[in-house]
Amino acid sequence: MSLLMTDHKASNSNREKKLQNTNESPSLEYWMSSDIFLELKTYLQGIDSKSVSKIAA
Amino acid sequence: MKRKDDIDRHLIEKLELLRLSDDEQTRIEIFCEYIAKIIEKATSQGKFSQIKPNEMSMSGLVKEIKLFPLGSFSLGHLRRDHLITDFSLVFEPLTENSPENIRPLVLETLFNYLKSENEAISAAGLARYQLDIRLEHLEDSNENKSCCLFIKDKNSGFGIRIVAAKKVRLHPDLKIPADYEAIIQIARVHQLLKRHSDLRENFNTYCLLLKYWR
Repeated sequence: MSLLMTDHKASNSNREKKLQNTNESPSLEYWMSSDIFLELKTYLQGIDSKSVSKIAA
Repeated sequence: MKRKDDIDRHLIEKLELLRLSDDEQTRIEIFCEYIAKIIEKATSQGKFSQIKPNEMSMSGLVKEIKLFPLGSFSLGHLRRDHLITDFSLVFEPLTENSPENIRPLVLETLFNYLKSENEAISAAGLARYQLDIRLEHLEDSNENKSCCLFIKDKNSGFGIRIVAAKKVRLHPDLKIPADYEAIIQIARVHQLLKRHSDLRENFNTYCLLLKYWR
């Protein structure tokens, strides 16, 4: 599989970079930018903190 | 060793067939954005046309709507042989006492709105796509997916399939309704991939291949 990874890395990395660097591109960040999803973002942060505390405990 | 090379070559050929080019990816993203913009302004009434008197308007039903991408499109690995994107239409009801069947009602209202908008946009000569808009009743045991809105561009073959999800109060101790689980799952995967960006390439490749073999 290593061969596959190498061959496709360049084109995909460009796309990922494009999606991360521009607000115009409809990456998930773009679709989630509305206020209607604010609670979802807070909820995910809450779940993450909970998992981290469990691991620490 | 030769056998391993053969397998690698075979997988590369399959990936080439499946993976969208950057141009194709951009074109389908633009299509989704175009449809999303028409849909998301539905709550402020039709700009181009009037809803028929016997049909409910979106603004009479919901406060706000937004599309949330699901499945392959959301994580950036659509297949060339399946150019259909999936979205959840997240809506906030206008009143707390919303009708019990509000999900299909929202989709039906949106369907009427879109048909009307599409006709008006086409009549004005402003249409960028030749849209086929349908409301589909799915034979599915899952009640949340019993109805979906399907919009397809006749020329490119790009399509959007939309299910509806009522916005809910989220709390780690509260049970999440089934129609919101997919949204949370996608958001979590996205968050994890952002944190481990070095694994994204492998993730995309495996997803593409798994879909091909499925």
